[in-house]
Amino acid sequence: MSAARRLTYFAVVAMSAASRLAAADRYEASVTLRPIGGVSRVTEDVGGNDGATSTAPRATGATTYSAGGELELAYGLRNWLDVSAELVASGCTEASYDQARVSVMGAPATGHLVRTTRLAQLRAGATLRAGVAWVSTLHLGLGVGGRASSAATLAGATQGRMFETTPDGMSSGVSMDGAVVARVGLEHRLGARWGIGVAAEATHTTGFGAAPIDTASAGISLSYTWYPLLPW
Amino acid sequence: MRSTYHKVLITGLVICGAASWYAASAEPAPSAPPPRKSETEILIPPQGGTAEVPIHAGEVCILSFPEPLVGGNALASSTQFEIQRWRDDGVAVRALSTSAKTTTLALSTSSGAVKVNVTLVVVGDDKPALTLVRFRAVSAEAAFEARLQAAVGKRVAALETKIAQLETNTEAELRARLDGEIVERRLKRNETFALAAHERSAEHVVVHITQGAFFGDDGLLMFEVENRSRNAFRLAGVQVRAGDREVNGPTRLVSSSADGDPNVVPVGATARGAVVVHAVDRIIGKSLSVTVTGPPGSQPIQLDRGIVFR
Repeated sequence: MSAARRLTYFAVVAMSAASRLAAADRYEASVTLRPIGGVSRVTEDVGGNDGATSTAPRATGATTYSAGGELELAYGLRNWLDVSAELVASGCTEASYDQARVSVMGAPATGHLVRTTRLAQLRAGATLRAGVAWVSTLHLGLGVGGRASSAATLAGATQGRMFETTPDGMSSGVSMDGAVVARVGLEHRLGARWGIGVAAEATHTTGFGAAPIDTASAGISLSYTWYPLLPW
Repeated sequence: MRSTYHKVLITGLVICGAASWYAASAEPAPSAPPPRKSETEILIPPQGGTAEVPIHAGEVCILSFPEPLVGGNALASSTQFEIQRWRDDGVAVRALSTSAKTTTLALSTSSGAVKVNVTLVVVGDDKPALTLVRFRAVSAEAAFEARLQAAVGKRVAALETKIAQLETNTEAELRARLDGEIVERRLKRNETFALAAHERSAEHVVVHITQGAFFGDDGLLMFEVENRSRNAFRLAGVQVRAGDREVNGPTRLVSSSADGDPNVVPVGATARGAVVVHAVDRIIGKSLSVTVTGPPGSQPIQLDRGIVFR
């Protein structure tokens, strides 16, 4: 992990005076809707290769804005611990890579490459909670998901002529991801049922066959809590 | 309610006692039952009076008057007592044996303000006796009031003794009945089943109904009150309804409240409780609604799902 990335993670954690909302006390279930926005570091293998020790292209990252939403269902095992599952959908603005070195029809090509990415993930995790009316939270979760990438567009010039094309292996498609998320937050119970909160989170998405995406985001949340009828 | 009943009973008996006293002759006016080997003062009205003086055999009792007595010796009806003048205004008496029969002694002061016929009674050592009796001349009203108070005090003391005994007997009887009822119910039916009904108030007081029980003809709902609010929670009551019908009996809560009130759940604490459900056979299979009421002004906590006797 690069120093910049570690710094980003540290900043996300340190700055998170916010929290996610709608965690549940013991026996409570809650559903939470959380719109989020942040920045993502989208990595693509567009760095070319050194030609001597490796033929694989090197990964190069680009920073984009991202936005999306999370829908979480949580159940309180204890007043201080609940488990949850959440569905996440987000999208990144166009990632731009200058001097991308890729292959076009088997021939090396260099130019400006752009590509957009959408993510959908299903995560499960646990949340540590402290408080009653005001609850600070720390959530850790794992998940799997899909990444939908647009066809990359390489723009460049050769022999004085401009061209735009899709590099080899960078057409549109869907790939599988694994994700790890850490979230801190602060929630406030408005009463027996409703709550609001703020949260900041850091997500690391590792592509199975694709380059990783790191996201730092923050959001507000609204939750509804109730006691489900369960046989225990 | 029992206390009120006792007060009414005492008042009535006191009135009857006062009326019966009014028809009776003058009595000594000690303000309380005479202690063992003590003294007393007897108030004599202008028209004269009588007094009964218990004494122990062999012990001297002084009869003291506010002014000199008439005559050299008192007029006594028995020779089994030694009776001597004690200065000008007193008489010393002593019973010569425990078998000395009751005797009377007529005494009068020089001015005639005190005229009294004293009855000397020899009592055993196990009974209280007097060693000094002071006679004082008072108006008829004062003597009446003193005798009235003495009579009332005597009656009340006797009644209080009886009531205390009655209470002791009643508590013992109630305890025996209660124990018997518990055993009968236990033998008839004793089944428990799990419940998982939960609800909370906006003040973060959480009620968990964790268990139901069949106990004889009645049932029990076991619950917990988890106080996550910032204030102590005082349980005012628990109501159980089957439809429109109230079916609950008494509620008990066991709390660790510092002030000793078992109905108070301290901040951050959880207290266990139970509420009786009457005639549980009539509501088997019906969904029950439980309302837990807290301090005035607080939001009642209502649980209306998942509470069924099966």
